Amino acid sequence: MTNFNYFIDGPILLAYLIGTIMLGLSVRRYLQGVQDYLVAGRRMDLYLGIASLAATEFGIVTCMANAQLGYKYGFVGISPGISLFAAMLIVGWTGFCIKPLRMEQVITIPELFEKKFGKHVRWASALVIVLGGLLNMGVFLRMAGDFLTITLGIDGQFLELMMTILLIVVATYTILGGMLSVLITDYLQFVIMGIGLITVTFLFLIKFGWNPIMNSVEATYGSAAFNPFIDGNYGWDRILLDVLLALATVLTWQTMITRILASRNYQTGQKIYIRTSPFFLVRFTIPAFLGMVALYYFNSQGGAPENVILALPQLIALVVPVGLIGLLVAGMLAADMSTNSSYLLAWSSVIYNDLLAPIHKNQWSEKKGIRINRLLIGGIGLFLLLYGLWYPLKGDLWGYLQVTGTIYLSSMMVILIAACYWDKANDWGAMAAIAIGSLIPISFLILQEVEFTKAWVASIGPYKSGVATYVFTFLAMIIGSYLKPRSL
Amino acid sequence: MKHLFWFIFFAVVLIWYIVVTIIVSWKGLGNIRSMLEEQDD
Repeated sequence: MTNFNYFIDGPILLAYLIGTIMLGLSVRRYLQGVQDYLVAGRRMDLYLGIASLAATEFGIVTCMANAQLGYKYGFVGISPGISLFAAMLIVGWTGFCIKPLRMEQVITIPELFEKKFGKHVRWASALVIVLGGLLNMGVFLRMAGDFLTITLGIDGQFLELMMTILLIVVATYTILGGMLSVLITDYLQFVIMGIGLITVTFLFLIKFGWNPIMNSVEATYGSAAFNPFIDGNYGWDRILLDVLLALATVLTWQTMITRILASRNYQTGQKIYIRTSPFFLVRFTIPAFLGMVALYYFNSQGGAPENVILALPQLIALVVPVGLIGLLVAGMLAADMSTNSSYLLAWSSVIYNDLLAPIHKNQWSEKKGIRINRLLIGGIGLFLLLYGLWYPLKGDLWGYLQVTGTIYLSSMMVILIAACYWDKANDWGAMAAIAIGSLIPISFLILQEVEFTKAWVASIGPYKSGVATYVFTFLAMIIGSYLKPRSL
Repeated sequence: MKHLFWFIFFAVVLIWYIVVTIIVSWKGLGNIRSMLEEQDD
């Protein structure tokens, strides 16, 4: 059941979708080469950079995952957002790692690693980045499909069709227009998403009131929902992982670092980080609040979905009125499309620039380079469709994103810091860090499915395992570097 | 007002988001124009 009306809300949604495609395709004529395709010719200015980064990092998945955090943990659920805000502000302010990275004029982080540690490290880095990135992105389509089938009131059996349609729309303008299309459509999506989110937040505040919502959260979880220092269901291991993950994300997450690499110069890149940092508070605070509204609503009305991740779309479908629901769904779709387009481009650029480097050796023509990138994007899209349909998501969505992200974030952060600031770092340390950094999270994902090890893995939990990954990766870098004989 | 700290926190975040969305939307349009003009050169 939904308030979505196909005669009133349908045209709003259609107008937005058609507008985006037309806008994305209109910039094709400006494409002159691979640099334009992957990093918009490094001509991105401050405000476009902020809009693009904010839109990219705020998709349906973010909204649902963070609403789930608010639903389950109250305001303590925004801990990752506070960590990300602080990390981004500090890194932007100091230029830690991002300044030397931008000054090297590379397209990807593995490209920097080749300069410091050689070809093998570049290739291994690219492999874990793509592996972690694709596994991470693997659930995006499915979550977006779930969101749309519920808010549009479509039967669940059409989930795969919704996923396919979404992918085709996004892939079309990403494949054809590359980073230029992504930036322009990100801008539009930033505006639409902002209008939708702000409007619906005010709607819920006026309709339900702050005090009743907070009373409901307190009645369910007690003071632990408002104070992370009280023992509750969030945990210190989770907070520590949030901090480590936040730092690793702002330093090495490909879609974020692309904005630095695509900026005019390092000064613009740093400003983009500083001024975008509060968006990461918004990214958690508003969806978490919407999750708390869902908790209040289902506590008082009943009918909470069995799978808590679906609480937000259910709330929207039942409570947001005709007209506004069309705008909000368009806003969420906008958010999701900007995320998917940037992510498709990010992983294809790493595959092209780094994994395929030994094959093309930078000798391919610009035309061939663009064609190959387009094929890669199509291939990644197909993988997402297939993976999203069969992977059985366990636990929090945010927990899954943290574990899959850690496959690459842990080692890339350690190696990047070492490459920028430690003279004794070498390829042995880098390879050891990559091996340990990927082994622990991959083992965790596999062992939690194996009958024999399930219970043991569950007792450790994803947060302690995540923290251990960072610690052991750091140690592997140091020990590996010192182990290398000086003669080599 | 229950949980005043979180209410103020939430209000500040929301107001900031509204203000910055307006500013970034306005100035971002100018950025797009100059970026595409440079691509044309």
